[in-house]
Amino acid sequence: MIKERLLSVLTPKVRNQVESYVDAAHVLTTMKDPRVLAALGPSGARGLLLQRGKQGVVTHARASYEAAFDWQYRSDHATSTEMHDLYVRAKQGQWDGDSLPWHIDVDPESPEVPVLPESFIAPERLDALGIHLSEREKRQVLHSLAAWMLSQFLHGEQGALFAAAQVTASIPVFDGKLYGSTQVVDEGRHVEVFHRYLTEKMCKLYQVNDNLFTIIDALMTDSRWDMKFLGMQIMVEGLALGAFGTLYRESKEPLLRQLLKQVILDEARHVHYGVIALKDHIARELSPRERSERESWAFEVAVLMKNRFLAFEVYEEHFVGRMSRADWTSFVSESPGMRRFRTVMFERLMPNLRTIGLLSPEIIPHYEQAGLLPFAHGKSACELSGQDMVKELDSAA
Amino acid sequence: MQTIGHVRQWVRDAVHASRRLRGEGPPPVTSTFETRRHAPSAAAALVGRDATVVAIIRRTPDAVTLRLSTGPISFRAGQFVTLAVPVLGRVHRRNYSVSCAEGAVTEVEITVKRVPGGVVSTYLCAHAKVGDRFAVEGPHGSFVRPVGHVGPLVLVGAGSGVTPLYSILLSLGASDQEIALLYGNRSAEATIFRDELAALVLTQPGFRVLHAREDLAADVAPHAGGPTRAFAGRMDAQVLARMLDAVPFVSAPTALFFLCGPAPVRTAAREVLAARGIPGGRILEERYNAQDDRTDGESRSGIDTPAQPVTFKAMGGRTVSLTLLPGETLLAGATRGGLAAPFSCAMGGCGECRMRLCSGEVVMEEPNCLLPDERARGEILGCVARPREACVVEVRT
Ligand code: FES
Ligand SMILES: [Fe+2]
Ligand SMILES: [Fe+2]
Repeated sequence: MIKERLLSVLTPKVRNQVESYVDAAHVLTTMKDPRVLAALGPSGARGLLLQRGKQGVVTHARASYEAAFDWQYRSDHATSTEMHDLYVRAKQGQWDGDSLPWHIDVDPESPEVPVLPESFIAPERLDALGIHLSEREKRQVLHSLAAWMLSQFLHGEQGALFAAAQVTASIPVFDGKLYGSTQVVDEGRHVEVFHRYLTEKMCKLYQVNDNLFTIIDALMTDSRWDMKFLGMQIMVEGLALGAFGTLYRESKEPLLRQLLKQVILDEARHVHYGVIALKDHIARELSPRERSERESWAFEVAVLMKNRFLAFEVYEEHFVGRMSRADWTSFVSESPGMRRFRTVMFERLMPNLRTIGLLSPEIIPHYEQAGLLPFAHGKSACELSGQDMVKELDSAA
Repeated sequence: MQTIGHVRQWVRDAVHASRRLRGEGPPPVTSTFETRRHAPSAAAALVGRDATVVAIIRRTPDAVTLRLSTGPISFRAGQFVTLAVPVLGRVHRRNYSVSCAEGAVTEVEITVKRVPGGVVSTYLCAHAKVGDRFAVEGPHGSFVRPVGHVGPLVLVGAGSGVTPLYSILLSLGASDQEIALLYGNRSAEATIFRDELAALVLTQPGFRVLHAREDLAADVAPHAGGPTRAFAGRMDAQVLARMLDAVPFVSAPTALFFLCGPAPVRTAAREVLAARGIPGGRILEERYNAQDDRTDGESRSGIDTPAQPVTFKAMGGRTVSLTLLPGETLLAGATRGGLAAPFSCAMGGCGECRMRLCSGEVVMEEPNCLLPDERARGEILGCVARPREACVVEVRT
């Protein structure tokens, strides 16, 4: 109440900024596990409070981690065969970003071949807030949203590129290093194609989202290799896979669909790499205490990812002063497209967390409480069968 | 030195924060780029209009032209339409290039060549009759000459890849337009539009046809330097290079290249053109191809499999038989049958779900990560494989 009063005297733009600080403080203060707060807190401060990614200059993140050299080039690790297999597959799966049909002419505001269909956000829901968008405005907002999503993909890919390089140096399994080298190339190619699509076809590039910055910063600066793996290969890659899959399904634009299809095949390898590397490591090398720290860390990151990719940059571009930040939050997070995205993402994430041993009975109630188990009635996501997952993917367009 | 860096960063942080509190947050969009959009296509895409077959013209023993009465429709040479064709109680959607002259018309022609194993093309070639009705969508596609282009055209196609090129030929304004068609076929009998092209050569002084024919033992040059020539051999990179040598305007800086047909032909053409230093920006490529009728390209034909009985043989001797639902994948089926078949990405990217096909035929979504030697051994990816007939499959569990 008092907060409302205080805020109401501010101009919309100032108010938006203040609310964004309040949001940030809220995220940081709700982290329950002190070890997780210690690991994520500094990154959260840099990303959410200081907005280091948005200061218009190159961001320098200090990375400290150990490179593991193996002068014996051993391939007798428990996971070596699997890693080798993945490496062979990755070599064969290379493709050239130039080979996509770039000649296709994309109109980012086309109603006939929408990059993002109207049903993704269902803009008629704005009517309830007294906001009536004209046809033209609707097209512009959809264009912005699509460009915003793709910009975050691009920024995520830049993070993935550097993280893949770090992980390659630090993973102790030699066959894992060989595989890692292909992932570096993959991520480079992803940066290339998303950047090209944004500049040539969408004609627009958005700032990095504060939450995304926080996650990337956290795993770049964490010195433990398995944390990097967990953050990048399982969480961020899982998020990316869900997001790419959703957009692949929803978009009608043929060039983007083909681009995403190719990228998805690469990302599928990346996630699998993370699962292979971690399942053994977590089961054998970590103490119970270390394991539970990883488990809480993964949970907090999942929370960061769940409801935090809310396109506030698009809000700032189009709607400051027209609706409140809170209204925008529910407008975006309850949009049909976002719901589908969350479902797909967590359907992918949960089985992987379970396989690597980070979904123990102690943590499940937390996921439930945070609304992260999308199948509250019936099965919990950890009992979700492969059939459900596959069926869901098959019903894709 | 480092301290100076830190201090600078803190100053930036402070300045950034104070700006935000004055309501001057960072701009959401960092850069915009010059739009490269062309004028919108002549006609808006039409959704699901009804078309009636009004004439059927046999072109070769296994290719027919269907003339469809569509009502008013306007398209550009090189564009395609999507036909919804019911075969055996299922509706299949396929893309076919329009093969008549462009403009605002009420009838369009498409030319269909039978693809071995292709459900729709086989049906259309053998059973389509005057009076049949199909739903038609489109026109779609940007395989068109850019508005305002002046300069020579080089059209490269093989087999039914000629259809959009033929439309381009028929749509030329000036009769002295310099244009060459490089056209690959098995034999003279298999050459679609053979007589029509010969006639065009006579009426269009700037037009020449160069055939590549697999059944020829030696090159044929009817009247030396004349407008029609035939080269011996499959239209691969080598033959294409020789054909291009025979086209005087290949290196004109305004020349545009149109590629259509099977992927190997397009790849070879790209290679040869790149070797000649022709920039990718002057090459247009139509990628969907007739083979889509058999495997699942961008169209979803592979997903349209009917219900099939499948027997899964798990390791340890367990056998499960069940009928897969229409469109169900082998992985989904095995899981439904209670087998713990391994998988990870469920999208054809990781290779974890490999199974061995003992008998029967499946169709897989392409591209995927299956290696050539695995293919040769009869392995398949359960997550993207659907049975085309009764199958027996070995599953690793
Ligand atoms: S599960 Fe990854 S390829 Fe099938
Ligand atoms: Fe990537
Ligand atoms: Fe990746």
